Amino acid sequence: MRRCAPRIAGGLAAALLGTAALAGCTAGGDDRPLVVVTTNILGDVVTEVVGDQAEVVTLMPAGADPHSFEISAQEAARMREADLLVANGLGLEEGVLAQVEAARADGVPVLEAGDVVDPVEWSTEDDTGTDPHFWTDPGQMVAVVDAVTDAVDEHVAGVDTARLTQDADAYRSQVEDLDAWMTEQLGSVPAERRNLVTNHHVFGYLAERFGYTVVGAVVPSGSTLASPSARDLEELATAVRDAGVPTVFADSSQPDRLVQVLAEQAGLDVAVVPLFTESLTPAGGGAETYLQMMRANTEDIVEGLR
Amino acid sequence: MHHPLTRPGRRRALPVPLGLLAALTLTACGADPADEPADDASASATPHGYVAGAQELPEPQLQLSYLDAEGSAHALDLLTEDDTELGETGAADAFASDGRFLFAVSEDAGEMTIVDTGTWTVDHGDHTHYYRAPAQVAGTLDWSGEVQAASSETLTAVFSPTTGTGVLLDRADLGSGQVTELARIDTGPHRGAVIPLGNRVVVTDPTSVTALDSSGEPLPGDGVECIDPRGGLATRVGVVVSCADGAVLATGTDDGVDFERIPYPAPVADADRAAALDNRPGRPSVAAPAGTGGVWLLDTRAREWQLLPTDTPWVTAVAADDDADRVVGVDTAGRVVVLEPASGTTTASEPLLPVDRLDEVDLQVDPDRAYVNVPGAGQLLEIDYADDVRLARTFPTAVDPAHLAETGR
Ligand SMILES: [Zn+2]
Repeated sequence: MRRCAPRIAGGLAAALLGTAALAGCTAGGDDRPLVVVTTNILGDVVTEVVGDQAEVVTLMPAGADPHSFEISAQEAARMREADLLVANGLGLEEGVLAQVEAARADGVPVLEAGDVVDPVEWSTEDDTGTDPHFWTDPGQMVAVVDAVTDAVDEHVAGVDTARLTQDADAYRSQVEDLDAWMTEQLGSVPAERRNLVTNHHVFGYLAERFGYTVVGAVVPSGSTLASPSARDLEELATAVRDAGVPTVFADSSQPDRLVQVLAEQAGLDVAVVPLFTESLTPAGGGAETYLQMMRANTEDIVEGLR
Repeated sequence: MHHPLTRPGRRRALPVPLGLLAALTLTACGADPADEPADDASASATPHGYVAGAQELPEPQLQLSYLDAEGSAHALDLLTEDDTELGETGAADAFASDGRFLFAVSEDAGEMTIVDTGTWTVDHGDHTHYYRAPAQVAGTLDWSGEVQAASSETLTAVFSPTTGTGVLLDRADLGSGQVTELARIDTGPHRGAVIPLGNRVVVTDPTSVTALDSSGEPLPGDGVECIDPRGGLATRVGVVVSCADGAVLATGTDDGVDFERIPYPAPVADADRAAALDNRPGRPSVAAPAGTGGVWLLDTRAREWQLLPTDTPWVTAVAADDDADRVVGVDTAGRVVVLEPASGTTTASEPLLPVDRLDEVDLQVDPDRAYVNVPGAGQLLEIDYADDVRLARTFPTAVDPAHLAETGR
């Protein structure tokens, strides 16, 4: 079973500021056209493409979980007034699915990023599906930037196409630079160490793109770490040994205790490093933008595996 | 002991109340003159399932929730080992839990008190969400007799075998401290079951199993015969009910509920029937004592019964459904016992439990550990059932633990 860990860094005050800013509500009531975006990762990308030519309202708060966040009746109403609605799709935003469909039924043009990416499949013991976490591969995001540009040009009245194209081109080249840099960075890790031992469930696209293997691992829960047996750590220890890596990329409530117990019970000297997964952070959290999030993760992966 | 979840780290996730974020988004957006007045907004804009102060966290918030006979409810946090008071239920003559809520019946008061332990898990197939909110007494229901409780993500069902009354509750409302009755089902006294299956509910009467919708209306199609039911249980696959000739498995389909029979391999005497099916929540296999000579193990995915002999009579059997398909139980000698079906070997603890009060022992099994209350001794025990039935931790309790439920899962 994979886990969905919310990623909230920074203090509560920062989170609150982030919410207001990301929700775009400070600009409420202006007379520009309206683009509503579900997730904050896409909200950042759409804002970069659109510039100030439209009001961009992002529904998902910083640090929230895209699978489960829900919106207010007022936000749902704004969604239905939008000139364009941008969603991740592929089943990611379960909490706002009904409102997205309601807006679509009202005639709001909807762009689902999932429709323009090259999908990766996941499977568990008793289920399969399409992995919705495409953003971990910047190559997929380039396709999304282009689709957003086309959709804005087609559906959002009053947008100057020349300026839109200019802004979109500028951002696309930043994403392409990111892609090239990640290719070079992740390619610098010795081939035999390109294994992500992790309890994060979002790195399927990254692995597929850059020739890495995701080794899904169950991290012992905090309640077993209090009085552990060798068996509690067996699965993780075996995964680490087989993968031949010095770092586990995982969320743990007690990472220091986990490192200590792995050393005591399994004789393993590993680091436990969390990565950013599926939400941008509030200001100061280290992943305020899509580009920053991807660069931070890449640096941690490369440093952890070298 | 400090709280490990708030330990600062370079990128540790700090829990932020979801409710607070939602409220702020509202406040920030409420200024739009085109929208409804702000006063209305806070009520109408509250998302369904919203819980004041609920936090989403990166791992299960497991608690050992326990009550004494007088209904003083406490919870011991398995991460921090902190003990907190959950509330008072008046008395606890009968008790059940669905993994989040506690249901305690006071015969004198003629009612059941429902306690929200404030921690729960939502399983979305390929990933899982873990929540924590303040614990509270959610409300009461008129009640008499025993109680069984089970929940899906949206529905909670309680059933009294003594009176044959089943009540279907809105689970999201229950989580916000409101007891909303969706349906009342009277099937007459029998040892049956009322168990949610998604947005539907599987219901027994003394001779059959049927399915109803969430308002208690029968779904199209017939039920199936099930003579003399002896309880049921939700599994990863569906809802399983114990019948005289085996099990009936109910599974959800797009437009209703399908029923399948899983007969016993050979006819079984009444005393040897699987009468108290129990499992690790969310897994396909279930177990029950088989009279005094063994245990039943039913894999609802393979649709297969196994009768496993035991050295001693077991009073409880829970299918752990782990890598070795272990069955964890309590035997009549007051020991925690673990059976590995492949080898047939049993491992037992020292006698840990009072043999004259074994009916009060609630054995709880999770992926890593088993937990038992020790009535009269003021202790809860943590057992590493896969590591030679090792006693991992012993927790003193604030009140005598007459009932136990592991919640947050
Ligand atoms: Zn996810």
